[in-house]
Parts: sequence; C-alpha cells; structure tokens
Amino acid sequence: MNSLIETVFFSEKRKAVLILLFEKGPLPIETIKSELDETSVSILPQIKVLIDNNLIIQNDGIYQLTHLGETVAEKVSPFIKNLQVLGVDPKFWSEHDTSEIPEKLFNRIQEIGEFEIIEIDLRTIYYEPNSIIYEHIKNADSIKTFITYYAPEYVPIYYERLMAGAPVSITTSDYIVNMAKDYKTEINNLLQLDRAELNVCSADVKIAEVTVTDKIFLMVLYSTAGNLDYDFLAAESPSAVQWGNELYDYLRSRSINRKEI
Amino acid sequence: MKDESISDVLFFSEKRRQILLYLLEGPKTIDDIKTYLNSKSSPIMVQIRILTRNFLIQEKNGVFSLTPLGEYTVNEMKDILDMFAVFDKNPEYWGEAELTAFPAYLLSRIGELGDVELCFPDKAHIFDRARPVERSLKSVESLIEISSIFRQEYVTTYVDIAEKGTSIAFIFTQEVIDRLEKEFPESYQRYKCENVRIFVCPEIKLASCMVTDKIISLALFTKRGNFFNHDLISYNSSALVWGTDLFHHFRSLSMIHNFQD
Repeated sequence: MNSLIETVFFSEKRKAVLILLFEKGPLPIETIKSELDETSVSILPQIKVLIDNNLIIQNDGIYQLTHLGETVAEKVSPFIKNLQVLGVDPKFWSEHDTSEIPEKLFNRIQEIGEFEIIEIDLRTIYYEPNSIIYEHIKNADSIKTFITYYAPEYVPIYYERLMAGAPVSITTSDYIVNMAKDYKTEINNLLQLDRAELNVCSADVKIAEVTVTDKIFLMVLYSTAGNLDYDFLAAESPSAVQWGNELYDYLRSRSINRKEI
Repeated sequence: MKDESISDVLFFSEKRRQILLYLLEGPKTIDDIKTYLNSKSSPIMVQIRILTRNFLIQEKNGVFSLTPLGEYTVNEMKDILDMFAVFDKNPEYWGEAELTAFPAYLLSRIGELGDVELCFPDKAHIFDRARPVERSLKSVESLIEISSIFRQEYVTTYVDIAEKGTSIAFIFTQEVIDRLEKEFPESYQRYKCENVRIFVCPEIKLASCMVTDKIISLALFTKRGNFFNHDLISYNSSALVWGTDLFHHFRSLSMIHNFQD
C-alpha cells in the first residue's frame, strides 16, 4: 500500500480518475476511457492502484469511489480545480493581495474559469476610460461596482447606463464620497431613482474594485506592496459573474445604504 | 525542464513541503530555514529557487515569506496532508471502517484527529478499554460518550466517575438505554444526579466515541457491520474539539432521556 500523497498526487491519471468519479458518480470503464481520452492499457494499471489503496471499487464493470475515496476526493478535487485557475497566471496571484476575499469564496476561485488581465495605460487614468472596460460597461443591462479609488473617467458611461434604465449599485468608501461632495445636488437627485443605489463602506477594504454586470466580472486588486497597478481581471463565464455577485454582495453587506450624501 | 504544475511543486518533494509548512508560521531568514531543516545551504537553495520560480515564496532583504498564492496553496496543502496523515497511519483500518458514521463536514476535518494511535487489548482484556483509555479515566474532569454498543464500563467505571460529580453527557441508542435501565437498574438509578445527562439518538452508526478533557477514543464498525474491540485514540487538542463537535452533531439529532423511577 502506498501513502496517499503517492496514490493521489504522483500520477496525473489517478488524479483525473478520482476527480472524474467524484464529479460524475459511478461510471463504466468505457466512459472513463473516453472522458479522459485513455486506452485500457494506459488507464487500467492506475485504476488498479486506486482499488488496491481502497479509494475505488468495481462492481459489475462499474467503477465508483469508496467512502474513503469520496472523502479524499472531496478534499482534493476543489483544490486541484482552483490550482487550474490560479496556475494560468501564478505571477498575478502571487503579487496581488487577496486577503480581503472571504475564504469561503476564494476556495471556489475555480468558478472564475477562464479570465484575462486587462492592463491599463497609466497615462490615461483620470481622463480617458480604457476602451475594453468602456465597451463592457456600455453593453451592461445592470451594473454593480465596489470601488475604493478615484476613477472620474467612468462617470459619464455609468450615468448614461443609469439614464438608459439599467439598475446601478455603487459601494464605495467615505473618502470617495467626500471627493464627490462637489456634485452633491446632482448625485442626490440621481439617488431619488429606485434603480440607483449608493452604499458606503467605512471599513478600510483592501480591494480596489469589483464590478459585476449581467455579462462580465471585473476585479482590480492592490499589489502586496499596497500599490495599485490598475490591472483588471476580467472573466465572462456565467459562473464567474455569479462568483463576482457573491463577492459584491459580501462587500455591500459590510456597508451602509445612503439615500443622499 | 518539464513544465512544473503547482501541485507537483507542492507535493513532489518532502523538503519543499517542510519549507512551505515552516513559512506558514511566518517570514523566516535562510538561517532559520537551515536550522529548522538541519540541513546545509546548497540543497535547500535548490528547493527555494524552485519555490520562488513558481511564485509560492518571495524574498525581501534576506527574509523569505509566502506570497498570497503560497499562503492559499500551503494552507490547503496542510489541510490535505493532515487528513492523509490520519488515513496513512492505519490504511487498512480506514479502508475497512464504516465512514458513514460521521457527517461529511466532520469527515472532511478528520485531519484534526492529529497523531492517532490504534490500540488493541491483549486477550486477557479483550472486552476492556485499551490501557491508555483506562488510565486516563482515573482523573477526568468531563466525559462525553456517544455509543450504540453496551460497554461494561457503563455500569462500573463510569458510575463511579458520575458519583464524583464529574460532568457526563451520554448519547445512546434506545436499545442501550433500555438494557441499562432493565438489566442494571441499580447503576441506572445511580446516574440520576445533576451532573449526568442522557440523550437518546434514533441512529448512531459508529460503535462508540468517548471524549474527555484529555483524550478522544473512537471505535467504528467495519463496512460489513462487524465489530472488533479497539480504541483509536488521540490526545491532540484539535482532536478533542473535533470530538466535541461530533457530540454537538449527535446532540442535535437527539432527545433528552427522562429518568424513570
């Protein structure tokens, strides 16, 4: 009998079989072979190792996890899936502060799926919206934004979406609200609209921005040194949008709703 | 060189695992790491370079620390290794054990049992508790017993402990309570004191679990429903917390037993 580290982690094929059976339930060998693109010769020896180590059993040609196998797969599978997302750009995840993302949510980071990093031309900030971000906001039928830095270049497009009938929810800091006091009357007029929402978060949250529309999830994190590099993480899958909504709801829950400033 | 996946970097080398787990305690200098691993600098530097190259650790002014990516992955790795350590200590036992006895969330935390020891009695004491358990019962401050089997201590040692005023909580199946009440009415009456509570649980799929302020002892059935006398014990404080949580789980499924005259 091998150690569980050897059994589970020292073979990509064994790892894949465990995760497959965990996600799909009991399967015949033909399905395992086709799902993993393997042949009997390539996969059966690995399945035998899993059987010998009490992680799976075979009955009438159907393979399934034992309760022990299920316990192990349940622990390992989400981690492996998360690593598949984090492993795409490990540099990004090593240089950005993720400590404010609740553990429960970060443990499901796999749901972000495929993402890209949009780099902002630092010469244009404050003056000109990034064209890719601009297009995403322009096409949004609803917008939720948590933001802790000053980004006046996006105000016109948010205003346009709000006037076009899209619900817009903004959660920001006391600091940003104070900066916006010059436009107090205009902002208070907008807040009369049912579809406009403003929340203020007094806690010093070290996340620069979370924006969720009906189509995309965007996130800007501070660097570990505390600087802002304005790198936007952008992900468009429905599960990423769902994940982003949960992050936004968490940040909103730490804030107080304001009907006027 | 082969493309390194994060999971390979984490799990393929024991030295790397040790360095990472050590850094989970906080930032360390190279001398700290060398002393901790009791090793010369050159083999360690090889591993440190691999960890740095894969964005898991970073160096600043001679001090090494985990990156945010490292922090997440090493915490998860530790969680997995803790579980694996418990299962690997007694692989045959866990392969045979009826694990549906535990709720999934506690099975997922089984690593908290820590340094477990599987004890078997010698033939002359084949029906008794293992020696370390008996010894620990001589001076207990609190006692929890969840059980679906009738152990002779329930009408001997435990009665004496109850009469010393020690706080005791039993969770028994109805069958165990019935036998206690009908066949050992004297012991049953002696349990009628303020410091003893008895709960009745409709279903207990483990044989027994004892948790005191010092020790936890588990006994499980095999998957075929057989029982052999054993004590799976641990003294780790995390194991006692785990056992107490198991008690709360069964307690929430139980009714208080009202003593009969």
